[in-house]
Amino acid sequence: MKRILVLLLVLSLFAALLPAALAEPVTLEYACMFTEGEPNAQWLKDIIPEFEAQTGIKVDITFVGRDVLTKIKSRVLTNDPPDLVDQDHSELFAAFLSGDETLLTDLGDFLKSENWDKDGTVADQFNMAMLEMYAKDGKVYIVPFSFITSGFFYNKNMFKEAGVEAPATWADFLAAAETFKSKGIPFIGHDGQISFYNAYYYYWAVQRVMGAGNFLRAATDATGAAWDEPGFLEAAKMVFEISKGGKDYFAKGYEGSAYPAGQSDWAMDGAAVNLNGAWLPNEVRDLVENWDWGFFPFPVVEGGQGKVTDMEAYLLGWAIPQGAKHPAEAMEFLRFATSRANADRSVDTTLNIASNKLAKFPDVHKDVGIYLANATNFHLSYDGVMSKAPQWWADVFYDLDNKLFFGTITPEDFISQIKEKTIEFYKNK
Amino acid sequence: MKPSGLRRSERPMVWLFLFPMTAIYVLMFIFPSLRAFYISLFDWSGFTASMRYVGLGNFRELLGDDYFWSVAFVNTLKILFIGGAIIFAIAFLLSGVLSTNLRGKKIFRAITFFPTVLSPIAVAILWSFIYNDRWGLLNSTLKLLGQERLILTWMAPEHLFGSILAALVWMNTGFYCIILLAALDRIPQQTIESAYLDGAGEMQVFWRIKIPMIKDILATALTLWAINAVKEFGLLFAWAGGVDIPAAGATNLAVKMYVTAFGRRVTVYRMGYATAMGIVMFLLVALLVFLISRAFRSEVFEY
Repeated sequence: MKRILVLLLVLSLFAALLPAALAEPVTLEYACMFTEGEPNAQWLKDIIPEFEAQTGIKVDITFVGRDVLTKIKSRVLTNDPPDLVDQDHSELFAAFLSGDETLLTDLGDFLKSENWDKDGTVADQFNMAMLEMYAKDGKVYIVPFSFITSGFFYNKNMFKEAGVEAPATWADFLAAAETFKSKGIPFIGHDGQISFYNAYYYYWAVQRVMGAGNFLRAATDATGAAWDEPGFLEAAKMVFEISKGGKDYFAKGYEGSAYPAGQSDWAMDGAAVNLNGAWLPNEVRDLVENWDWGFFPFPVVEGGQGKVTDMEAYLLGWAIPQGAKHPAEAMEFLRFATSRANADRSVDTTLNIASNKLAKFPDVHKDVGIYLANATNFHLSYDGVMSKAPQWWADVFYDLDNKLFFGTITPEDFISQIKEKTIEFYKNK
Repeated sequence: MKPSGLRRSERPMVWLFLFPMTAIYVLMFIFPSLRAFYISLFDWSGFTASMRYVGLGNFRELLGDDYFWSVAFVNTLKILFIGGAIIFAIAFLLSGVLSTNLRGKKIFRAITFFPTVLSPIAVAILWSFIYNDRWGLLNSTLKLLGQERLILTWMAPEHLFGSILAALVWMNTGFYCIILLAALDRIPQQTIESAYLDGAGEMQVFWRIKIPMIKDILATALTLWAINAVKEFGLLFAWAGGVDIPAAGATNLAVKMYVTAFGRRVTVYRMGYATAMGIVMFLLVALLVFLISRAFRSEVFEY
């Protein structure tokens, strides 16, 4: 009898332990915005095996590409989302946080928890002012891995040969452009087929003339009255002046240049400057050797409200959808990936600026680092217009802005048409 | 016995065989189509389960949507009519030549058909190289021929639509040429020879013999073009490298519908409104198919 009891006890213990022994390790499903060959994808492929080895959590990553939110849409709807998704903060916010429903997991407690390096909280690693720009009702739902800003990248050698310094003011900028033009060298390289590259000019001009928040205010003003304010016309005049309709400081054919022809041409000494996102060095790095990179922010305007210490913060980050099966494990991955060592590796692999403020700074962005260190205010890319008034941006602004930027309408026509179309647009809602 | 020739006992078997395909068709096509009408009555981002009923609000908004009508709709009509006229003119010309006893006819047929099998993304990249302002094939050739006055920035906003249309014509002509060629090949040679013997000229033979005798196939080809032209998407969308909302010159109904539903960096995400655009596309296609079938409704020659 005793033997049978012992046998039963052993069997029951074995039965209790068996499921744990046979249980599969947790597999985290991660839908990624990058495609397989991109440097960011390489960084993830490098760090994921280490995360798996250290935590026993498996990561099943799919490199979906920029359409990642579209691709996971039906899964979000059926409450079967991946555990982790990444994209730029504006797109994540618009897709998951902009409506009445909140479709992401609140990361407030996670940010207050200890970081991977055990030298503070996860939040301590970030500039929280940037994260809070994308908060909803005071709660943070997205954690960044990459910081991007926009400004002029320039060829230091060409500037040196032309005897020109990086311009700080708009007047300096025009003088530099004139110097290059007089030497027969195109000043600005640009891909005009990308409307959001074209839009950089008017958006930045408004930021410098009127300060952050005004462009968004005008874009969402259903009466159109905001467009009567002189600052908007002044900004339009700045854009027109450098356009083909004005003094034409761009490389020939910029209005028809298909991405990435214009930026490639610029990188190979075809032009002196290129106004672009900080992803630019990464995109053209294979085209030239020993190229000396430089960066200066969009020049300030005399008497303008915008200051050189106002900086755009465009962030790429992670979010955990509501309904994710393994949110705790997903947070563990974020804790690991945002560690200083992994942020440093991301800098080495991608040449991008890591969102971890303690991480090293990429050499190609050392000029950006100077402005970032002195920045006192951050604002959303395009002043938040692209993400907060997306249909106005696509249907009203893009077409008129392209015409202004290519110099086919005057600044006065631009203002009168944008006012008229804005009124029509909101009236039709 | 019924005209079908089926006995009553055989009917269940017929239903049994029809059922799988009918079920798939209803589930995969009829139901989503009807569902689209339903969705068009809601304001919905596509991400949430909650949909706000707006009745015909999306259609009312669409009627007043200046960009939709003045850019997307007009470009669609231009592709349909101008593009269609060019494609069919070239296709008739080529099929006329290729239906003769030309040497190397099969190779020419293959070359003509080749652009049709290419991915629209590859075509967009290829043609944007051809149109490149400085080192593109087109401007370089014009320069070589001493025709500098014809050199243009082909992808500048004022020329963009025309440039894309040329690529669309290049991509599609081969397909319609092969269809027409197959139709022309089945016309009995003696009919054409008799017409020539009776004194008919080339144009008379073309309009009075060949066209009437391939009317049924021509109607099919035109219907296919009408559908393809309205839903043309890949080439236009890929033109901006797929990284941005295409410029006005590369926007038609299908592109507009896609970016309204799914955004493209610009986070529009209006699934309900985009579905209303889809309904307009459906109605346009239905109208075109109806008009084509009416125009070609006549006795079909049997030979």
